Parts: sequence; C-alpha cells; structure tokens
Amino acid sequence: MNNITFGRYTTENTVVHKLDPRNKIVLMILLMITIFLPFQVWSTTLILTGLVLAFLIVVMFLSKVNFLDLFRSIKGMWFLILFLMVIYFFIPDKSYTLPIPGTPFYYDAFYRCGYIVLRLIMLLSITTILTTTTKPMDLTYGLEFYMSPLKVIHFPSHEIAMTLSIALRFIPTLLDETNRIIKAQSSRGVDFEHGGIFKKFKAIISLIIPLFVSAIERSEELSNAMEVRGYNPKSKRSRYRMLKFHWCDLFAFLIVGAIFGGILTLSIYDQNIIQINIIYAIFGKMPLF
Amino acid sequence: MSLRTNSLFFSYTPKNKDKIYAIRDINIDIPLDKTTAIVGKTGSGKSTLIQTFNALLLPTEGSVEVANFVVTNNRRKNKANKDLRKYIGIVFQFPEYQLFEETVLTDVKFGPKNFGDSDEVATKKAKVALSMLGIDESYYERSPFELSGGERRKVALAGILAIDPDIIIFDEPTAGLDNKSVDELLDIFTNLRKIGKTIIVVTHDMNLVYDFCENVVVLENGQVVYQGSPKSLFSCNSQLFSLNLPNIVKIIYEISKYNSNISNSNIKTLEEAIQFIKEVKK
Ligand SMILES: Nc1ncnc2c1ncn2[C@@H]1O[C@H](COP(=O)(O)OP(=O)(O)OP(=O)(O)O)[C@@H](O)[C@H]1O
Ligand SMILES: [Mg+2]
Repeated sequence: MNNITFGRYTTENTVVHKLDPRNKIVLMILLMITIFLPFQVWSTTLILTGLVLAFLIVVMFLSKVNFLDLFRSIKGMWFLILFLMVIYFFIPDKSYTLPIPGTPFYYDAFYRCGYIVLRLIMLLSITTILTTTTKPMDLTYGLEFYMSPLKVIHFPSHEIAMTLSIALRFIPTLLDETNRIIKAQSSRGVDFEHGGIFKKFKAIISLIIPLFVSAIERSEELSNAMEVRGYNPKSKRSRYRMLKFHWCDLFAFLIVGAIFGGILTLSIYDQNIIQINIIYAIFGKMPLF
Repeated sequence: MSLRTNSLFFSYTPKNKDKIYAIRDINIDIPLDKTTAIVGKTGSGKSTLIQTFNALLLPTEGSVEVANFVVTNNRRKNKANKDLRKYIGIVFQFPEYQLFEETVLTDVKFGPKNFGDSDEVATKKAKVALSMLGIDESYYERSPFELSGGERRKVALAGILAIDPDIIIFDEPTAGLDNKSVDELLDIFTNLRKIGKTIIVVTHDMNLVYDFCENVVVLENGQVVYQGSPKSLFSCNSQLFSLNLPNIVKIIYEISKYNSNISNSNIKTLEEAIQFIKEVKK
C-alpha cells in the first residue's frame, strides 16, 4: 500500500517543473493521443512508438523523474501482461504473422502484448512526468482554467477544481488511515493475506466500512472548518500565485506539437512508407513483419 | 514470565540506504505480573514499539520474545502470528474507527469468531466484555454508528476484551477523555488486573503512570533511557527526560520546601500527602 509513489511531487527546479501547468495539461493530452494513434503496419507503429518513447525518456531525465519508482509501478503490471499473453495466444491475428514452429500459436501474441504494454508504460511515464513536476494545486488551477468558460452555462468549475484538489490532498491521509485500520483489524484476528474467498470478502468489508466512515466524518469536519473560516464557493477569489506563460512554454509546445502533428499526419496518410523504405533497408525482409 | 526484546531495531524504510530507525537497540524486560507504562515525547517510537509486540510490524533487526512466541524479521518463522495476536491484544488510539458491523453485539463478536470461537461462545464472551464496560443489553441490537463517541470507544474496547487476550496493550487510552471517563477506564483496568490480565499502557498522562503503574519504560528518540519503577523515576530528576511531573510529586516538592523532614521517601501517594497536610494544619 505504501509503494504508491506514482504522483508524488518532487521539489526540483528543472525546466519541466517551470512549465505552466495549463500548458503541461495540453501537452500531456497531445502526447497521450499520439501514443494511441493507429497504424496499419507494425513497423510504422514500432518506429513511431520508439520515437515517442525516446522523447519521453529524454523528458524524464530532464525532469529528474525517479526511475526506480516508475519501474516499481510498471512491475505491478505483470498480471495484466500475463493476462494479455494468454488472451492473444488463443485469439491470434493470423493475417500477418507466422506461426511458432511446432506449436498451434502465433508470434502475433508477443507483438500485440508487447505493444500494449509499451503503450501502458508510456502512458504511465507521461502521467508520472506531469505529477512529479506539477504541484497538485497547480494542476487543479490548470483544470479550473480550462473549465472556466463553462461557467457561462453555470457549470461549477471552481467547485469541481476545489473538490479535486482536496481529493488529491487526502490521498496520503487515506493511505495512512487504511494502514491503521488494517492493523486494528489484524489485532482482532483478521487475516488480510490468507483465507478463502468468503474470508477475504469479510476482511475487505472490515476495512472498507471503517474507511468510508472515517472519510465521511473527515469530510464533514473539513467542510465545517471551511465554512467557519468563511469559505464561500460563489465569491470571487484572488490567487496567491499567478500562473504565467514563459518562453520555454512556447518552446515545449512547439516540440510536442511537431511530434503530434507529424505522427497524426502519418497516421492519416498511412502509406507504409516507413516500412518499405527504412525497415527493409535495415533488417531485410523478416518473417516477423 | 516476561516480555523481552533483544536488540530490537525497526525502520519504516528498511530498503533505503540511509535508513532511519524509529526504534533502536531496544533491550527491555517487561514483567507480566506488573502494569507497565511506556512513555516518551511524541515521535519517540512508542506506538512503533508496541506494534512489534504482536507482529503487526516485524522487527528490522532483533527479536521480541514472549511466552512461546518469537517475533523476528523472518516472515516464515512467524507462523503463529494469529495465536500471538490472540495472546496480545492492542487497543489503538481512537479504536472507534475499527467498528463496521451492523449491530454492537455482532461487532464485538467479530474478534472471538476470527480466533475460532463458535457463535455461542463468541456471544457469551461479547456479552461479558460489554457488561464489563457498562454497556447494557439495550445497546446490543443498535448500530455502532448511531452511538456517541464515548460509547463507540467502549464498544471498540469490548471488541478487544472479548478476544480475551492475556496481555492487553492500550495506545494512549486517555487521550480526549473527560475526567469521569478516565476514572471509568481506570476501574476497567483494575478489573482486568484482578482477573489476571497484564496491562501495558502507552500514555502521556504522568498521573496515570504514577498512580497506576508499577513499571515504566521511557523512550527518547527511539531508545530506552529509563526502565524501572515510576517512584524512583520521578524521585530522580525526571525533567531529564522532558516528562511532566505527576501532581503528587509536585505537591511533595512544594511541601518539602517548608519542611526539611519531608522528602519523597515519606510520602508516596495522594492519600499520604492529604494526611500529611491535615496533620500540619492541626
Ligand atoms: N507509517 C509510518 N511511516 C513512516 N514513518 C513512520 C510511520 N509511523 C511512524 N513513523 C515515524 O516513526 C517515528 C516513531 O513514531 P511513533 O508513531 O512510534 O511515535 P510515538 O512515540 O507513538 O508518538 P506519539 O506520541 O505522537 O503517538 C516517528 O519519527 C514517525 O515519524
Ligand atoms: Mg503513538
């Protein structure tokens, strides 16, 4: 429970930390779309994915992301990988891959599974970059900024941003609370690790209910405390720290924009160009592709 | 019979290179026929220490030995954890947050049933525990969530007592209680002692330590700086450990300013102090 490091802000002073959170949100969305753009041919996909991956690795170095933490969260995906492998082994796409000699299976399972895992890792990297370089508060300001035009139609953008930032703020508290309740229930003989389905179910119930109760009580306390101090969601608010757009924001936007634009174009006019020209030139015609 | 720790270390971040120990090199011997207090500043490692006693936290180094149980770093050797947790019960601070069943009675029964009691036996134990805490039958079928904070705490306490552990550890049981509730709690402690239970209590309340405990362990920065009787702790310069003095010790100190015959060897309890003041007035 305690190894959920994903999303912890680090107090560094890198270029990526300095970027405007509003900009970072847009860049993140662009990169995420880029990752999931479809191509008809494997090689194109692989080359372009490799390109984006390389870019992400550079950015991760720039923003001093803790790679160890990232690996740890990736390690948590082993079950998913296994699951995908099994699925793809039994429903292979026979249109383009060769069967593995001597077995009823196709190489295809490895490609598709590997590709999905790769995309997930990239997705994880992107969110990790965003959250390690952006304070949760700044993130919610950024979100509020994009939602603010909706105020015209009485969309509660400020309230939503506030709720989000409080939720973010309470994640560590809830983890502590979970830990405490696990210990308290273990003292009453609950075994969270062993036992059959029914026992496990009961164990989880004995954790979830107290957790909800304390979370609800906490939120009530918090809302009272806010009201006592005169919080009014309807009033106009000023901000201690104003967000500013720097030159490096424009620069970052241009780079990511170029990557996104380039790959989007290729995806639309998917002509197998890369496959024919580059892959074959380098590797020759391989049975895998 | 005693609970012993052998060069016990615990770190919350054992994998880090420069790991910080929450408790360091603890060698204590807690006699089970005495009531023991564990005191120390906030963050000194009291809660961490007691959690190693029933293997909720496994020592990073060293071991805890009590009865036939040994708690060590080795997960596989600690197979008897469940038996150990039946032997040593911990009542955490704000135990009311562990309630979850639909009725008071089923919640109190939850513990004993986990430890393998039949429904009948568990019900019996639950009723004994609840009556010990002064919660009568009219509460049995109520939801724990509609009780007051104090009542909820009692129900949670009953949930541990019903397990019938031989050693009961309380983590800051008096925090946030009014005087009357503290007195009630002390009565419960006395009753528990009468039926042969060992009580270990983590507390900031020096009056409780002085009046009620026979053995005290002082922690500072994760290390034991004193172990022995409270009387001798407070007669030596206890400000050494930045502890508050119990009221009685303060009174004796003030009295001894005016009467050089008096030292804390003559007066040990509040009753004796009252007696003395009455005599002086005559
Ligand atoms: N879950 C945890 N993760 C990391 N460090 C912890 C954790 N719990 C406690 N610590 C650290 O271990 C040290 C000892 O904490 P502990 O809770 O044992 O103190 P305590 O004596 O019980 O204090 P208090 O009187 O405030 O309850 C503290 O420095 C604390 O910061
Ligand atoms: Mg504590």
